[in-house]
Amino acid sequence: MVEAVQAGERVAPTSQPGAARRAATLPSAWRAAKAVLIRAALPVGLLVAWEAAVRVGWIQARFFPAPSSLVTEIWRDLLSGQLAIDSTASLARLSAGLGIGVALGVGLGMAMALSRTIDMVFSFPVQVLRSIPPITWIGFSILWFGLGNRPAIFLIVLGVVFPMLLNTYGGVKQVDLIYLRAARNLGARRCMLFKDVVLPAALPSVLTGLRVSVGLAWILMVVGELIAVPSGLGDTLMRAQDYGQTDRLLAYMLLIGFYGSISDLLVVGLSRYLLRWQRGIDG
Amino acid sequence: MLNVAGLTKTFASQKNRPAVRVLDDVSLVQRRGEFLAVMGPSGCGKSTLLNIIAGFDHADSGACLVRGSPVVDTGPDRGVVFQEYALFPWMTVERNLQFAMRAAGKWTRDAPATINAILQRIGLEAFRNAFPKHLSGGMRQRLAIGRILAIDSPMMLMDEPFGALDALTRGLLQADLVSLWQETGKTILFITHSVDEALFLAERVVVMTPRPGRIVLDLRIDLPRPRDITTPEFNRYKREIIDVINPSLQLPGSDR
Repeated sequence: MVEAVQAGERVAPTSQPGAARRAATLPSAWRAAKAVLIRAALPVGLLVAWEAAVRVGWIQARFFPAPSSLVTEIWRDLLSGQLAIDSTASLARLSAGLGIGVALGVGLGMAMALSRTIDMVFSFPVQVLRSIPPITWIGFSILWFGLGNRPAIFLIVLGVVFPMLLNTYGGVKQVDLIYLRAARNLGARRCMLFKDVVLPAALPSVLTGLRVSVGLAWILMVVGELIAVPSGLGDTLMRAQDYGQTDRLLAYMLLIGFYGSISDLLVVGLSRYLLRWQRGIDG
Repeated sequence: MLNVAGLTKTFASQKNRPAVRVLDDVSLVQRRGEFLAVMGPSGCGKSTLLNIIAGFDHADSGACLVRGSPVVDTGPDRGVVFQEYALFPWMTVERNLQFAMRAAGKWTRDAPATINAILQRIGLEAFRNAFPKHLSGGMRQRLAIGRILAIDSPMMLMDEPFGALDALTRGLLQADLVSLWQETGKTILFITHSVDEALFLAERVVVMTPRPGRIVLDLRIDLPRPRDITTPEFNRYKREIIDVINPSLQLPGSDR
């Protein structure tokens, strides 16, 4: 945008200023509009075709309900307050699991990267544990924690802790020697070296881990709720399935996907802000 | 200021490479306030010498004394300017200077004023809130030098600091470094592989040759400043150094 305007100004003395500016800015506005159209084309097109197909009768609504009936379901739960209750319950679980998992993973990852002894002690157990799919812990999580929030949070922690650990470990291990040399030369020792050099240098890798973790956390939260929790989006979804309410089922599936994509956008936005110093990121 | 005696260093052999003796009985004395250039072709051990003085590396044998005490670790009394700048990319220009002063224990009440003065000195006031990625190579190296000014190191170790810059920027920074040295009286050890650069900058040029890394020439440069790199006197010094580094380039009829 800015570049286009400047280009227009440079052209201005030789041609009509107004025309030059319009010629320079219009294409960029058009480009933005075109980008929105391209992004929206597939979802909107699918929704229209899908709605039409159900209405015409090509698809049976019982097997694949129309978008309009999904909207009706969500709208009803929105008005009754059920949607807000489910969403906040799920979100609270997600946040708790994510918080604990990130703290544990980053903490242990840092410790392992900074101390050879800790690395040697934990390395093999971590490799074994991380290869166990978190979902297989569901039996024990109910056995240990009963039904409720805790087994679901436990599952999320198990899913989040390892990607955070590995990415933190890798990030710290890969800090460029020259930053450490420069900082030590300036006089920085232990605490400062860690806080102002190691931590920010490892941050890109940690944030990559966070993005993976948030995706995993959504999946495991729903899995936990399907089985072990009597509330939340997963629970509502499970009940819809039990009662054969396919429109409600599909509505909540899509809602979870929507929430997941929003949370991913938030992580991406956070990363772009925190890493605005990196090459290739403007700001 | 600096007293290096009988320094020897061998890099152990590795898979595809035999052991290399990078420093062979290197001795060197630099007086306080002296601008000394160590020059030589790549692989002559000049950077290893700097790393040992800076405290990044240790010699196998020999002594390295700075102001009378042996070097055991790196520290802000010997500020290093790296060829790769080594600025912290996650800190703004101003934060880089602040960090340096805090790390060196030089953070006092008038530190902000010092930072302003340095930003002005290195011509980066307008960029105080910019990240290093927004700076050109020359600006980055000026900031790296500003960082050493901020911690007020009595000795400055410069490891081919202008090697990655274009010729024009390099010339500007060289001239600026000379006036900085004249203003502050810092002791400067400057590593370079460029004969012109060494002769333009230094009061004294020490020439090293590789395999094993040895000092083969120690030359006092008696040229008036600002130096003109096109005068016959300048070229006479240049010829003397080139003859030592690479005798095969000796001109026919030259008897030196």
